[in-house]
Formats: sequence, structure tokens, C-alpha cells
Amino acid sequence: MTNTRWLVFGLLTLLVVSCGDNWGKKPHVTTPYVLQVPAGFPQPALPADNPLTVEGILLGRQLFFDPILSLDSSQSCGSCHNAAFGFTDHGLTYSLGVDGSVGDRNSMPLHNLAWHQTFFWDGRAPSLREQSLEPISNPIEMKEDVLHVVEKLQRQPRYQDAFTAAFGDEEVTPERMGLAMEQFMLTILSGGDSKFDRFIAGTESLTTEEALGLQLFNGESNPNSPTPGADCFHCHGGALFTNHKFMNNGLDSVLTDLGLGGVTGLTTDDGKFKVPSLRNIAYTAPYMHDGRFQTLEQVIEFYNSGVEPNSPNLDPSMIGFIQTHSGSTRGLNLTLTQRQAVVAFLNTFTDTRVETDTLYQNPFK
Amino acid sequence: MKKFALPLLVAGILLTSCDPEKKPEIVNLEVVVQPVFGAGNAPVSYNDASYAMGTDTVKFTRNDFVLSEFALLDEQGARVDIRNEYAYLSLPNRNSFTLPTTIAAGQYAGFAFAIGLDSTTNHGDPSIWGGSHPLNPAVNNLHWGWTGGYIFAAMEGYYQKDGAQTPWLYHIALLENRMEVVVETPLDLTDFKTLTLQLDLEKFFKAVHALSPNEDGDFSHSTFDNGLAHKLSENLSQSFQFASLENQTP
Ligand code: HEC
Ligand code: HEC
Repeated sequence: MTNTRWLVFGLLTLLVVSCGDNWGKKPHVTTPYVLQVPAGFPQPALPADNPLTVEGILLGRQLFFDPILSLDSSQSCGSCHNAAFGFTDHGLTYSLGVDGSVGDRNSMPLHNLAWHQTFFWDGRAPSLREQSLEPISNPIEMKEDVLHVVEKLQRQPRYQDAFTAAFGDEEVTPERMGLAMEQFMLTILSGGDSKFDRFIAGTESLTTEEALGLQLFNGESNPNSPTPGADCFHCHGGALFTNHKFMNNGLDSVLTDLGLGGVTGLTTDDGKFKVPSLRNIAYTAPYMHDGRFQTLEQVIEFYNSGVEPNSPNLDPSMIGFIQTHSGSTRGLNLTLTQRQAVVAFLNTFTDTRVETDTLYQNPFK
Repeated sequence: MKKFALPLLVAGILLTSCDPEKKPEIVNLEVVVQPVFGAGNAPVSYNDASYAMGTDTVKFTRNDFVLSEFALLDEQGARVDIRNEYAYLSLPNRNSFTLPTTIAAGQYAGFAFAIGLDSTTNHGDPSIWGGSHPLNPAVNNLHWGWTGGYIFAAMEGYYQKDGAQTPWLYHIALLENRMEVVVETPLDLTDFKTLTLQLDLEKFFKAVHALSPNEDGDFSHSTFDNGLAHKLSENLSQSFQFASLENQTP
């Protein structure tokens, strides 16, 4: 009997002590958000220390589309990552910064980022929260001091409310901005609703041309094999159409942009770039890290006959692209019909949800 | 009497857990795979170092594996299976895994595993595996996508061909190329241990069949390859050897 009484007393004390800080304050309640992983996708490893909440995502979305993040309030993240272009920059080869400076890489689509581990074409950002602060201070992009953005946001009642809803109080910090934008970007998905996904689900069929494209995409380029193949699946395989690695696909024999090698300092990483997802590829022209190809036909022509065998660190998975097939020159050796079929197949990855889902759109419009 | 029950219990627990002589009844096992070129040599340096192999000079860039069907061999040589465990290795960075604390502590005579998967697991739905599970395609990048199945061993690198650096690539897949590896060696598993195995990459090219990228073909995806992947799988299954068994460092 005595024991039980002591136990109850002890527990009560513990409760009181642990609540001490918030005594009298309303507890901070957020609404958990469950990411609807499209059918067939692997499970993502979401950051355990930044659980998705409706409030956090909304704050992130506001920040993403607010030009207040830039030096002269002329540019938001959404300026170079436009939903109508699969979150890329309006078909531009290089984006323009607030002061008109021209960038040196092609803007990247922002979808299915929950499955990525490192960010940018050269992988220099290890997380989305860190990545999302970079464009703000980048002199060829938004060219603004992050701490100045903090001051500007603190003055706005809209953000006082939004930070309170997401984090429990009005305090604006770069860290919280990063966490909120990370949450928003983690929710942008492409998948589940493209023609390709409907084909996999058995609700729509591919045309004969698209079906040939699928077969080529997943087939290997092997001079000994009776069937032709385009070897794409090695790097753009699986439901996400990327392996999330950094590789050299043989664009150049002499490198002007070192890619991953410029970040790690290792010559064995020179020429390696992030393997892009091919989902929504029809939206995101031009192509490659420097936007050198305007059309998918040009991309396929490159893979068919233009791969540079002497490109430094050419990925071994490119071996099928530099074989000599009997009676032909080096390359995949695909006919025009076969090349067109691959393009037709790539066009089945278009998921118009990026344009139509209201959760992804500019909240200020 | 009741009054003493709790203190006695606490003292009991304290005493038991402090007993230095007390050996565990069940243990886990950490397994480390160390790639070398030639038995006893220093670990392979990926991407840059070249290794002479007959008339060939080879570099290694990728050695990725899915492993399953782990077992210990008891002193009579019978298999003690460790079921439903899988591992993904990507040498040299991801080079270890730990089998769970279900192994009966004691003396064993060897360690066995398969490189690859049984047919059901190989062709099962890959999207069921959790975010960090070894069989999650986003973790291992070894799933063939829509054509189904995993690559069991992805071996890649470069070699010198006519004076120029050229890639070689062998992707070993398909049930007939699944590899059984058995390393026979006395294993004292009376405590929590780390078993280090060496993967001798020189043997990958010659344990059973002497093969070279220049003469026998520099790539295979396991089909239309004149049996190259199968020969390589026979080599690979003979390329592992015991290196050390040590107490785990806490
Ligand atoms: C001036 C145009 C521009 C602005 C503004 C801009 N970006 Fe980007 N974004 C780019 C370009 C170009 C790249 C590729 C840069 C590189 O790889 O070096 C990129 C890459 C990214 C990536 C990497 C995607 C991946 O798959 O690795 C993310 C995420 C991203 N931007 C988010 C943002 C966010 C968040 C903001 C606002 C804070 C923003 N961007 C503002 C042009 C812009
Ligand atoms: C060795 C891996 C590898 C293989 C095989 C491969 N790709 Fe790529 N792909 C890449 C990399 C890496 C890039 C980005 C290269 C860069 O920008 O420097 C890329 C870029 C692309 C792009 C441009 C995407 C964008 O957003 O700019 C398309 C389209 C593409 N690949 C389609 C294909 C097709 C179709 C095939 C098969 C014919 C194929 N790839 C085979 C690695 C590969």
C-alpha cells in the first residue's frame, strides 16, 4: 500500500517537472502529413528529424514562392522552378539571376526528391534543408543575405503566424526556413498518374510504338543478342527512372565542367553528374547539366552514336554504347523507327499532376 | 518479507549484469568483407589503382552484392540457418552487416551465405521493402526494374585495351548464377564477434576459370554471353576466405 502511494507521488512529480517549461502555455499541435507513395515506388527514407506536417509544408510552400527571399523581391524559387515546366526554368538553357547574371547549369526538376540523398548536378548539398538556403545567397541567383531575409520575414504578420503554426513560436531562423522548404519539396511527386503508371497498373495500354520503346529501354545493347537494346535501364531504371548516382554518360572527351569531381577534388570523379529522373521528361527541356540538347530526339541521337569512348571516367554501364555491332559503326546501332520508339516511350512518363495539384502551386495567386 | 522483494531484485540484476565470467547464451555476428587483390595483400584501392593480371591491367570501380541464406556450420558440418536475413554490400564503403542476436553461442566450423536470392524473393514485389532495407531498390540499385529480379553481383571497372582505358562490366544475375559461398574455419562464437572475410578479386578472374576482359569479353548482363557470367559466378563463389575473428569493440 505504502509503496503504491509513493509510486503515484513519484510519477506526479515527474510529470510536473517535465512539463515545467510549458506550464500554462498551450501545447504546440501540428497535423501530421502522410506522403502518398505512388504505387510501385520503393519506400523513401524520410528525414526522421523533420516529420512532415501540414503546417510545415504550407510554410515551406509560401517561402518557396515568395520573392521576398531575393535581393530586390523580383525572384522566388518558383521563378526558376516553374510547375508548368515540371519545376524547371521555362525552357531556358541557363537561368538568369536577379541582376541578370547568367547561370552555368540547367535548372533541375523538383520531384520525388524524398528518394534523393544529395542535391544539385554535382551533389554538393547533402540535404534539402541545406540546399534550400544556397540559392538565396548565390550571387548568380537570388543574391540576398539569408540573415536579411530572416529580418524581412520577422516583420510580416503572415510569417509570424505561419512560423508559429509550424514550429510553436514566431522565431524565424535560417534553420527553420530550411526545414520548412525541405518539407514542401519532399511532397512534390511525379508518378502514379502518367500513362506509363496506368500501363503498369493495367488500366491503359501502350501503343505499338511505345511498347517497342519500353522493350528497347530495358533491353541490353549486345552485339551477340538477336534483339536490339538501348541500355537505358542501368542508370534510369526502376520506378523512379534514376539510380540517384553520379555518373559520366560520355558527353565530352574534354571536360569543361568537372561535376562531382569539382566538389570532391578527386580526378576519378571528374565528369560525373547526377543521373536525372526521366519522369516528366517531356516538360523539362532542354536536357543535360548544361542544357545542350533542345529535344529528346537529340538526346537519343547522342546515345545512339555520339557517346565519347574516351571521356574521363566514362561509366562502365556505358559499355553497350561503345560496342561495334556487326556491319556498323560504334554505338547502339538503333534504326530511326527504334529511336523514335524510345522517344515515344519517354513521353509516357508525363504526369500532369505537377501542373494541376493545388498543393504544389503558388499560394499567393 | 514483501518489503525486501524489490531491493533484492535490483541487487540481483546488478550482480548478474556485473558478473565478468558470465557468457551470453545467444550472440549476434558482425561480418566485414575486405576486398583485396591477391591473398594477404593490402585492401583494394577503388577507382584509381591498377592491378596486373596476366597480360591485362585492371581497375575496380564497383563491387555490389545482395546476400542471403546465411548459415553457420556446426562442428559436424551441418548448416545452422539464419533465416530471413538479407544484406547489401557496396565495397569498399558499405562493407559490413550484422546478423541478429539469435545465434546460439558456441563453437562452429564455418560460415556460409548465398550471393543472390531465391526465386520467390528475387521476383517478388520490390516495393514492399522499407526505406533502408537491403532489398529496397532505392537502397541497392541492383533491381532490374520492370524486367524483374535483382542483379546478384555488379562487378565493374576498367582495363587497358590497345593502350586506352576501357570499361569492363559483369552483372551476374538469374537463378542459375546464384552463388553459394562456404568458408570453412573454426569459429569461436561464445561472445559477440566480428568476422572479417577477404574477397580476393584476383580469384574473381581465375579461381576456377582463367578469364580476362581482353580475351573473354569485357561485358555481360548474364544473357547472350557464351556462358561468361556463369563462369564468373563459379569464380566468385570461390573468392572468399577467412581473415580474422575478433571481439566486437563496444
Ligand atoms: C536563378 C534560378 C534559380 C533559383 C532562383 C533557384 N534555383 Fe534551384 N536550381 C537552379 C539551378 C540552375 C539548379 C542546378 C544548379 C547546379 O546543379 O549547380 C538548381 C537546383 C536545385 C535543386 C536540386 C535538385 C536536385 O535534384 O538535386 C533544388 C532542390 C533546388 N534547386 C531548389 C531551389 C529552392 C528551394 C530555391 C529557392 C530558395 C531555388 N532552388 C531557387 C536554379 C534556381
Ligand atoms: C551510365 C548511366 C546512363 C545510361 C546508361 C543512360 N543515361 Fe541518360 N543520363 C545519365 C546521366 C549521368 C545524365 C546527366 C548527364 C549530364 O547532364 O552531364 C543523363 C541524362 C539523360 C537525359 C537528360 C535529362 C535531363 O533532365 O536533362 C535523358 C533524357 C536521358 N539521360 C535519357 C537516357 C536514355 C533514353 C538512355 C538510354 C538510351 C540513357 N539515358 C542511358 C546517365 C545515363
